[in-house]
Amino acid sequence: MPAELPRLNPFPAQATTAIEEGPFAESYQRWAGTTPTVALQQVRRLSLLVSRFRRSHELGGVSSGQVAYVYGAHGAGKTHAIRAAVGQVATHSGNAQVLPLYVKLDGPDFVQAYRRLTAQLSLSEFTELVLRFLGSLSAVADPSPATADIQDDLRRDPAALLQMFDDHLLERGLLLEAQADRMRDAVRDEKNFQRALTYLLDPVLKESAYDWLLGRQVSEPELRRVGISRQLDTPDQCRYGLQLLTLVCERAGRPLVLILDQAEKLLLDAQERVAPEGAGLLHSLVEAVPDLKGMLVVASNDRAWDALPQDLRQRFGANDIVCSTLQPDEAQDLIGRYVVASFGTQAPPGYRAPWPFTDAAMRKLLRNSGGNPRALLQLGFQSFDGLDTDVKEIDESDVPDDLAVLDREAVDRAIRRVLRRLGPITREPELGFHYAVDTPHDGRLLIRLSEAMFYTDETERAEEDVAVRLTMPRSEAGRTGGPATPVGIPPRHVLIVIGYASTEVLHLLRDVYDEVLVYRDGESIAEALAALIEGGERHGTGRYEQVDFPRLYGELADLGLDRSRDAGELRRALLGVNRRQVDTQIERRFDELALRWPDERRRLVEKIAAARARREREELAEIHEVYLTYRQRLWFGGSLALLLTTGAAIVALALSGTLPTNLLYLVAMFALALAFLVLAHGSRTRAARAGEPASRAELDRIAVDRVRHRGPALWRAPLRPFWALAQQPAWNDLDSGDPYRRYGFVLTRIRADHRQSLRSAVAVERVAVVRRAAMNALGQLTAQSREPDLVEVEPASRSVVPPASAAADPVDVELPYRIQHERVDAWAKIARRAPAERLLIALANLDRPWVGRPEARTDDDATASPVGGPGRPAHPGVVGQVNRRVRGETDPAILFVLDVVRGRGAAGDLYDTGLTRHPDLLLDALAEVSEGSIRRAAHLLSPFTTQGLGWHDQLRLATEIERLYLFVEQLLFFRDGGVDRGAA
Amino acid sequence: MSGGVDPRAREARGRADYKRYGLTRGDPYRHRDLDPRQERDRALLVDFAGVPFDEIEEQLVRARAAGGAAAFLLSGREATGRTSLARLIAHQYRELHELGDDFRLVVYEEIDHDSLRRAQEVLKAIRNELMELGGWGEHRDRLLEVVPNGVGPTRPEILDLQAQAGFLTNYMRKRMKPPRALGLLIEGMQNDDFLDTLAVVFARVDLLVIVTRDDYRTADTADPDRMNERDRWRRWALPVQVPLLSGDDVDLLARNRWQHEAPDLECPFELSGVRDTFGARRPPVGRALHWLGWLLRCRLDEHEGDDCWPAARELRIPAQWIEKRVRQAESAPTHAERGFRRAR
Repeated sequence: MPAELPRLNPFPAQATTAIEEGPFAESYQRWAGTTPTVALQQVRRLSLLVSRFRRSHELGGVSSGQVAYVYGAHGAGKTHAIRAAVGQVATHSGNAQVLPLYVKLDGPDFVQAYRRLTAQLSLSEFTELVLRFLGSLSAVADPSPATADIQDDLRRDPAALLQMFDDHLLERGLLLEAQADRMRDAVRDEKNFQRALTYLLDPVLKESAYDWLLGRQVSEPELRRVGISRQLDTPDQCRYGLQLLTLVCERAGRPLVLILDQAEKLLLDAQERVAPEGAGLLHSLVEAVPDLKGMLVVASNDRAWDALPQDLRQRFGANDIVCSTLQPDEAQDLIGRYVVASFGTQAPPGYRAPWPFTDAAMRKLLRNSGGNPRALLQLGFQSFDGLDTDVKEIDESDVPDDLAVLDREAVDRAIRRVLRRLGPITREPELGFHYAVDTPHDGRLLIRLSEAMFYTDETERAEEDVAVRLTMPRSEAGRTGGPATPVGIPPRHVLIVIGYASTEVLHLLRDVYDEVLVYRDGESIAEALAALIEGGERHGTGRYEQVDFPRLYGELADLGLDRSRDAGELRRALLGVNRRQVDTQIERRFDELALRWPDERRRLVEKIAAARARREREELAEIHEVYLTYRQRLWFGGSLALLLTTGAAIVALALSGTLPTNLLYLVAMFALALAFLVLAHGSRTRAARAGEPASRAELDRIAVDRVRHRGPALWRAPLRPFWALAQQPAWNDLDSGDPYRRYGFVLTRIRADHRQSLRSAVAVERVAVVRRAAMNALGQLTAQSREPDLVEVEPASRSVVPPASAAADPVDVELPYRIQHERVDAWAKIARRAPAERLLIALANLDRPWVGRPEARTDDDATASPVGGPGRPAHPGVVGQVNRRVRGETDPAILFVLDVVRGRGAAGDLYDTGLTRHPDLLLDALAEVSEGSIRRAAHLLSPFTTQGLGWHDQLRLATEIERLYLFVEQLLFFRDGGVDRGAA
Repeated sequence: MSGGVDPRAREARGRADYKRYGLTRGDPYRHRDLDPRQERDRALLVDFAGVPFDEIEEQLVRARAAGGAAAFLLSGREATGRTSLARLIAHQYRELHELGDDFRLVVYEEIDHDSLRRAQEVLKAIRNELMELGGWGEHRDRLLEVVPNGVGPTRPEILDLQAQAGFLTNYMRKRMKPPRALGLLIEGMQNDDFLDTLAVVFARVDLLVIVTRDDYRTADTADPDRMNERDRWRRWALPVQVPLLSGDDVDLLARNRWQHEAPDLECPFELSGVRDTFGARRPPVGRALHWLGWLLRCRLDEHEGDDCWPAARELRIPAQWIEKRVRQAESAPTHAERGFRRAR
């Protein structure tokens, strides 16, 4: 333990984080150099979200937007969390540099906020973004010689675009058209925004365009000159401006992170009610910004969060981040960080927080600050400030009461003052209650004061408070003590805790009391009580009737046990011990998310069902379309032939003169009419169109029917002798023009010797359903032929199966239907296939216990040449290096899915049992596998992309695959929601 | 062509030895605005199908007979040769009116969505040209008095502008010695009422007015549908759609330019290939020249030997090769739609 106190006060006097509205990344670096950050839960979760956002853009796949809502009391560290989280990511050197724009709202004027947000972009930065945006469209909108070179040049220097316009290397008009096209989704009033963006690149008009985009006033003539119809000065237009900015930044490769701090100024009016305009704006932004692949971070006090309409809160999904009060260990950690930081590089060896504070001083700090980080640091500053020079430790008596005078007497006085303003008060009205107030409208408040509650003694105190409440009879009418209240309006019970109570205890106590308030100062209590009275008059009370006291006691007891265990741990007091707190937070998140999951799951299932139904409709429509074309052609040919034959016959009859002329005419007319009838029948496509099969089952029935009954019964009768032949014809229906017949044939008539014709049919078939069935049949045939002789591998089938990399072949789409029948005897044989295919084969071969795992074949090892032979240096451990001697699956995502389906490990257990009440199993499951693997697994199983196995609805394992997909999505849902120790 | 843009292309251009093709003056397919007053440029003007030369001539003759303005609206995409066509019309106008070499074309290209103010600026541009022609001293005060500097406190009235235009034309014809003749080329039009405004301002004068318009659906060029709803300008100006090139046009272009640079040698392009490849793409003339020059350069780069065209038959540019190279070049950057964040 160091003997000397730090020379300078380690704590900040103000302890506020102010983010300059300027270049975010630079100011972050200055700030981070001087301000320690404790990785509280809010910092961790927000960092996770922001870095995930950045990564999704960097990987360049399906980049996605993100939202987050940070809320908590003043000084709870919202701005600090935002700055730390976004700052870390913004200074990350990578391909996708996020562009954070921050604004601290100071009133309901959104236009003002917009101006301050956009003013952070200089004209040249804005121009560069717009140039990059335009440049990104060039390859698609206007392909020209050396497009690839042009792209590289633009990446290096976006201003080269203007020169390329002048040289006619690129066509400006086409790019502007493409830009207008993109903007249509982001903004209304698009002409104005389009002109502003266009003239931002014009040397003469750029100033006016820039001023307009920033919401500054532009003179009328100048506005007319750039063709913009009005000033940018309504909140709605500003919202479009932000959406446009999001779009531009995303396309320019600088994904936007939009931060609105102190959102309560926008969301709540002076009476602290939700302001409809503000909430409406936020509602639009929270939908539009992630849609345009930007990130929106909103921070407000908890009152604004609570007041928000339910549907608006839901838009933030699981990304609501609460900044709760400090737990004792966190407070220690916080103090410790500042002390260590003040020593600089000479951090004292063996330092343990909370030195120089004694434990008692620490408690007082916590109590007087109410667990609020800002207040805690300010108090720390003041305690340090008043010290004598020779003191070695800071004791309880050194911690001032200045910030909030919280001794019992003073609080009593302050509360009485507040209560008197509400109405006549009675002292000690009931057992355990300290005051009663009769409010103007015949209401009654019973008030109990309670000492600060924390840690080991908090549950005892809380139990006491619950007990007091429990002794109160349900109906108060006619009871002793104080004036009797009128029947029908029961009194309301209020508990005021002095100074500090942990969030969990507050949560429990709120079940019993109508209101639980934490005393910081008289003003806030007065406000809260006034709100309570007003709210009670509107809604009435009576919810405590349903209180389940035994459950409450049970939970309190649990909490107590928890706390006493923790107290022991605390005494060991190691720097950075916060796992327990993380756990309780995780549990809370878990409970919350567990409630939400069924909804989420239903939504997913519906989405999958919709995708399936759509695919089915498309397939059925396709085959029927092909059939209609075929039928039309057939009828047309037939009727033409009929017409020609009758024509020839009539001419022959006429020439031979065997018939009288009148009769000849009659015959000719009949023949003509008949031919027309046939033709007309054939072109009645509407009727045929209506005959489109309604489901896959019907399709199968139609197809099988088509093969079994060839032609109308009238023709069939004379052909009955050839029936047997017709059943097994030498030709096969794969060459038929009728897709239904082809399909039916594949379904019913496939024999082993059809393999060759199937193979060629697959190559030319254009109808997806038939191709799929053919693939399936091929797979079955191959499997059958292989069963007796496992060693036999057809050379021909090898050549048909394309290498894993050649994904462009359309045949690949149906490949899973073929390989689902494959039986493998050695993993090495399929090791070079695409991951999704490997997974499918593995799932189909689960009964073979070695599937997916490396095979231990020592005999092979002995004969194989060593990897590091001459001229072939070994690269052990190099990622991406394929070691051919390892015969088994190496992809962690596939191994993970296989473990799950086999019920191995915690993930497997979870898959079998479903969600448990306690998050342990889920946490274990999440700990077993990396986030990347889960995401990859979700991708492999996805029913929404062609690369995912779930896309193929008719696989034998389709149900299992869907179940697996939902399971993986569930893991991700909880993980993204914050239930993960790995995130800590 | 600029040199500062494309290092790889520049390198290729440096290496390309056009002498192998018998070309002494480098790339024959350079793109620039043509001026028909120059003998050399006149030979490069190609009569593309789709340009209504007859109607243009008719309009010029009719305007001369009526003593009114000969006005044209040339709509087309970039690099379709609008400016060259405008200069050609000016040339024809000059010949028709038997004007001397001092006939000048005043070019105005400032962007302004406020049509009235733009018309006013155009008049000022004419005024300035006249002041310069008159050697400043003599006419300066009189011209400044009628067409004053600066923007007035109120917006200009359209009939005032009409009077100013009338004064200016009269002034250059009657007061200046020797009499002067000017034409107007206004590049780009931003607002759909601009031509209507011009139709009033230049209603009573005998002047050549050519306005070009970018033919795109963007916010910085006049909307064709809105223009169609107006009809005053239609009685005044002849709308000309400057066409994109057909396959035959590109074929013609390739031969014409080649012949101009190397009259004794056979054009190395297999012309059926040029027709097929570009017939499907319909490029503007500037882009077509760009492609032709690029193909020629690629062929030169691929050629290994030392012998020259036409002895070296490998230097011939076959149809299949053209199609292949163009398609490759067009589809090369599949990542580009993703913008600039491809992992490097």
